[in-house]
Amino acid sequence: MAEVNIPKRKSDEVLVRMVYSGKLAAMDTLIDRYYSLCFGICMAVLKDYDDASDACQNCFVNVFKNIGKFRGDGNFRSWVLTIARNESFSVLRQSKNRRENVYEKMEPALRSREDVPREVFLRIESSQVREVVETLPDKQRLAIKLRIDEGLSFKEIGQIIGSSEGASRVNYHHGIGKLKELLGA
Amino acid sequence: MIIWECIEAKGYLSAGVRGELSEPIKAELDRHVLDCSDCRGELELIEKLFVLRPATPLQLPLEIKKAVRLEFFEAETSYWRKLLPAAAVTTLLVSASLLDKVLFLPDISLLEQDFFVNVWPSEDYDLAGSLVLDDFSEESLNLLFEEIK
Repeated sequence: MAEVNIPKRKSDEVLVRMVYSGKLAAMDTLIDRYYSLCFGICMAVLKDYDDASDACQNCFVNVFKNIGKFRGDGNFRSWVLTIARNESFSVLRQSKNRRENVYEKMEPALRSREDVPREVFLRIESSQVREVVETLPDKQRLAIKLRIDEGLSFKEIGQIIGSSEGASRVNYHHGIGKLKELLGA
Repeated sequence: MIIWECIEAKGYLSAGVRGELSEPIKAELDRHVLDCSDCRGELELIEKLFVLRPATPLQLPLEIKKAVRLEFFEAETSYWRKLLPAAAVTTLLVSASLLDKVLFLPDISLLEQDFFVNVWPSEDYDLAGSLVLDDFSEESLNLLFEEIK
């Protein structure tokens, strides 16, 4: 299990209680905390910038519209993941016929200025990887993207791709194995 | 010093690429990767995959907040909007009843203009509702007799 540095901050449960009592600032904090993760999931499923943005927006509208149904003892992150998954698959069903290669629209993220030379170098090599990733079965591709891009646990990945924790772990390792084989890594 | 198996080291690779590992774990992972070509190859692959991740649109959080607020505001407004017709009907009825009381007072004789006039409490229909003559002044009695005539 990866050890993660988490700065001290208000827990999700505390923020949810604050939202219950009408504090909009708490709602903003929860959005700031999870929009990136939510967008990452939507993007992994939909592979379209605009669709993913819409799905992400709808996800949060639904999260707060139904905040009364969220039980305080549950896991808010897991709840957001489930709603993001459902929104993404709902949009995917609607736009199945207009799927296109959206990677042209995408700007790969750079973490900081110091990373640029290394990132540029990796980006050139990554263009080849991108094509190969697209040849993977959906579950393996999703498992890899959600694990590497978003840092989700295998349990959370299973929740999104609709399989068990063990199966999502297998999907990830098979996918990585296949990529290594195809890329000669 | 921890001696890591590859399977354990591989579990930390993606978190390492995202910069989420604590210093001691990261140092240990780096040491393992340096000595293990298989894990090094996997780390390089994960780095390439990580570079491919899409950047989150800068405006997205603002758009989400706007959409959520709009939804909340609409929900609140529509709640009051639902109550508006009922409130309007109630106001109309109250106003109408007040107007009725003020403008359409019953046409009564001088004697009956006293709202607190006493009537005879009786279960006999002929007597019930009769004025109590004992409390009347002489002048009122004369007026009453005039009306009866």
